[in-house]
Amino acid sequence: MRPFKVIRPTNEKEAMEQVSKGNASYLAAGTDLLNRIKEHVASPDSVVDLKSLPGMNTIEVTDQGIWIGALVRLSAVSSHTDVLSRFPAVCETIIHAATPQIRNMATVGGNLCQKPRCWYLRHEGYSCVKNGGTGCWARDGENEFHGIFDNQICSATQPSNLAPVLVAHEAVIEIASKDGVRELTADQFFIGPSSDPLREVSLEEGEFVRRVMLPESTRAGSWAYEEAREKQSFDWAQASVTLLLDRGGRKGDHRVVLGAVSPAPLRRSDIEKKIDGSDDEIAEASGIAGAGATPLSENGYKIPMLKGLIGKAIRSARSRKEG
Amino acid sequence: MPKEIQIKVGFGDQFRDLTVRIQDDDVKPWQPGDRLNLIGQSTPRVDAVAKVTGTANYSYDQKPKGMIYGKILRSPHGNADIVSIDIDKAKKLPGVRAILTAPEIFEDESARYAGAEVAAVAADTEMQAEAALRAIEVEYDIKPHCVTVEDARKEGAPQVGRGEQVNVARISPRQRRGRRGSNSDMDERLARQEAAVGKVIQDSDVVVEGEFSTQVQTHAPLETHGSVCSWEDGRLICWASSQATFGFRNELTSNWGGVRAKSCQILSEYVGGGFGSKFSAGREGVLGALLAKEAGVPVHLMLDRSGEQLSAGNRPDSLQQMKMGVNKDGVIQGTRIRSWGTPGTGTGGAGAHNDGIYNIGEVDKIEYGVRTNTGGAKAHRAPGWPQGAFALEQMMDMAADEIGMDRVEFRKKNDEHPIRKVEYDIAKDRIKWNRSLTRNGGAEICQGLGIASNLWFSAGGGGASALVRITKDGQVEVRNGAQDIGTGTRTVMGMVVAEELGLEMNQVATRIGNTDDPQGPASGGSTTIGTVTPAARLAAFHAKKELMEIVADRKGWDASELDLKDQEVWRIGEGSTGMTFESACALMDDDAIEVLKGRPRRNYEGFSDTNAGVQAAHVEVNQATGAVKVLKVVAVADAGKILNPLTSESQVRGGVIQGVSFALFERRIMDRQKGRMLNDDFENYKMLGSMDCPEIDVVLLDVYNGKSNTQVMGLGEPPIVATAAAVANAVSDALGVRMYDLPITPKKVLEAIAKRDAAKEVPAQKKGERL
Repeated sequence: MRPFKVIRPTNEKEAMEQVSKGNASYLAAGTDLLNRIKEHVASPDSVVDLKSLPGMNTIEVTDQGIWIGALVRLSAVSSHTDVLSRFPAVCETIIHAATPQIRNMATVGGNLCQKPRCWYLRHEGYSCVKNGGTGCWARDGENEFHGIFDNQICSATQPSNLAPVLVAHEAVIEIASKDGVRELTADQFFIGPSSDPLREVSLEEGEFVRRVMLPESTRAGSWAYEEAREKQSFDWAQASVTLLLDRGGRKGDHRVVLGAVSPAPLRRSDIEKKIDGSDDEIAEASGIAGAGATPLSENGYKIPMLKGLIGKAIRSARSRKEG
Repeated sequence: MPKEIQIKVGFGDQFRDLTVRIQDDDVKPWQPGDRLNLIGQSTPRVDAVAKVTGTANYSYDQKPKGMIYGKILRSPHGNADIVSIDIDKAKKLPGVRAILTAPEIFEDESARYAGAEVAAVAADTEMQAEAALRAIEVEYDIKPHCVTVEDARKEGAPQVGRGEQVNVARISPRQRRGRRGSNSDMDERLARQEAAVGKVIQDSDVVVEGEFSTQVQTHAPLETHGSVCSWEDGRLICWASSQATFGFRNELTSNWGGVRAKSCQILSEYVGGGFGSKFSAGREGVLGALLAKEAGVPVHLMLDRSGEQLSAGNRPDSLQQMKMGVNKDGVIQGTRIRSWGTPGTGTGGAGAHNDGIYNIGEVDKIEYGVRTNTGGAKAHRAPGWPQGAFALEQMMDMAADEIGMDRVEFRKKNDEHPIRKVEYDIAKDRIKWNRSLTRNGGAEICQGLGIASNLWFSAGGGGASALVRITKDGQVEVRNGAQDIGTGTRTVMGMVVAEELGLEMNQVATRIGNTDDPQGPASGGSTTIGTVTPAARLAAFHAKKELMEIVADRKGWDASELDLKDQEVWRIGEGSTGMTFESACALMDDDAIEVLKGRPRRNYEGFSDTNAGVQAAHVEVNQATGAVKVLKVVAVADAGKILNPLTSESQVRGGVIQGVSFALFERRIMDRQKGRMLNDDFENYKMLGSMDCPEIDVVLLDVYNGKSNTQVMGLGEPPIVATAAAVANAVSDALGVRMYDLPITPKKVLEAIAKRDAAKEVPAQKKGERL
């Protein structure tokens, strides 16, 4: 590993100043960044350790919703009683992520800001649109695990398991920026390559995620999270479906968000509309899973996979409601 | 002079008397009914606690005084020649003590795959070594590459080898060289064979055929390849992660790579897995020894995970075309086989053993090795067998289904192995073969059963000696210089000696993995236990004899009537004399009795030359997601006499786990554009984890085999042969569609389902048409 300097700021302003000096990166738990440094695909001269900042490591329950600090460990979120009872889908997506060991280290903020797992992006020597070059190696290469939607510019997928459920809940992402705190909805926060291929989230220079709010108004009447992957022990999703039914007690206010098939979580309002309680809602909803997909040479299987997952999710959410 | 003895051989209710000729100083194999204290009892590994608590020191953990770190620079190009290497900048970096370049050491300017060694650095810290590697400037002459068998077989494909070598070469039957007949004779013979077998198949009642493929699997041992080398007054001491301590030593004392140590000691007390990839010192072993010599201090050079995945070996892939003619009575008449596989840039074979196990009639088989610009293949746990069994066992099910015979009955019809005949019924019973399940894709979640067989040949052989030492104060130690790569050899060696001396396990110390000790075998072909334990028992037997002679002499007893049992001196047929082992030892005049004995070079006549084995798998397939879950694997195994059921069972479990991992997950993924391996890590090179592991039901048959004084056969390789084949058959049973390619990933399952469902929609009149 290339040597780097560790800076431990005492306040947010100092953190932002330090990270703007030369070639620096923010560090939370390091479960992603340190690997990228070891693989020589990230080479910061210094890392600014956000863990030294106060106040970002708590979960706060309010009437408006639950605020989760960016430095809270994934395992602390998934085992939190209020998150479990009010936003169970969030916990379900987390326990599908990585391994118990990684979930005990990895933070919420780090999970949202991790770089895609594209194996070209993570090997030195593959210059592409995502690391400042041009083109996409996966398009003509090994793309079995790449995206099938919005994959023309870059076919890497958003790796965060939390991302789709945050979009489904219209979570608020609170960002520390030079001009104070600003907020984005999760939908605005995760971006595709057409906005900026170098970034997967809309953080500007020096900004970092402070906390995330799960709004009470989007609590689901019922929900499901279904994910397909090769291995059950430690693997990344090949496709996932997050389904929230009757959010905030509003009948028909559903959310369907697809994961691991596109550069940003993909909300599918067309599928949501098909979930209408009719006898053939599963066939109708899953039947259009592939609408708009542009599969590559090796990943067409993700369409039937999504179909299967949508069916499973609707059945699971419906049975949960009835049960 | 050999002597003749009468023994019983067999198993279960099948025993027979046999007169065998054994080496004159050898001891009679244990017989059914013998009163044994340890042999046949589950005995925990003597090093279990050290291993699980982390106090066992592997090569990786060694840290001799003054040790620094070595690292290897690898070519990033799919195929290149090294034009020049400039080490000037690297040399001047802090901490750098030695730099070597591969073309100079190995007299080879080519870097024919991405991952080929280019240079090596030793520096005070790992980071300094890495920085120095990155400062080395290499000029490459980059050549076109091909990294898949498909690409390498194409007309006009880039040539992988240098000089006259072609990409595709027939490896079996071998091209003839020199006087022993011309190649045109061979070509004629093959053409005749093809015609004759073709006719046999054509004339059969039913013909089935299929094209099967398997992937490249890396060995991926937890401890990577490498060593810690230290030169002390011209003698090389090398803590090596090796499965052949003596072979490793012989390489470092030979001319290869120019190490030429006058004297060399290999130490491999603990080895973190090998699976067939650690027979040779390898380029990393040579570079480690030379860096230590140049730097003048000990050097730790263990591969990183990427280097391990790229360069340390793999199981070749395979493409197997099979065609089988079967009569309605279930007898296979003939089989035509063509297969291709890649040894990468290595020289090893890439064959698939798809014609073993069953009697498959007249055989017309030709195998081709296909060179590609990839890391060289090495022997991998039952080389050629899991991939061959996969294709063969799919064919067996296809043929059985075609003639409407039960899949097990069909196998029995074409199988003469006396042990396997019994094992089929055990496997059937334990997996509940006749149970009703939702098969043939009948529901979103469906299940299936599959069965497949093992075959192996592992009674051991010559090439091992053991030293047993009994001291005057009653200490016992047994030594053999071979390694225990995780199989339990060390424990079983101790058990055999303790049994012979009438002692408990904790009274016998064991020393292994040290080339200053008596010769031991490479751990290959599952031969270690069958080679080492007869030597250990023989040495213990003669040490006991010497001790009994001392006792007899002092007490005025008859030595031939004495034996050791329950830590006391016994009079045979009468019981204990009351003299303890310790007091017997105290009668010695000298400090110790030391006996060195070599194992007989040849195996004796016995019950069976081969291990059999049958495995049955029960799987569940989710047709919505394509996920396959292996619910249960029944593994019926035999390995001659089972000395330690616990470690034997572990070996079988390990084989099944690696086999399921091969069936569902593991595969090397190459980027054809740059010719690099994309999953040279443990994140994308997917191996079975705890949640993917099936219930494993191990049944061991105890066979009095008679082949040596311990009658044991190895169990390293046999249990992996059948697993993937059984799992694949079970998946096909569940889905109602054949799976032709490993690993069986969700992608392939979903594609197979789509194909199956599309075929169902074909109008009825078209279905009957012959293609």
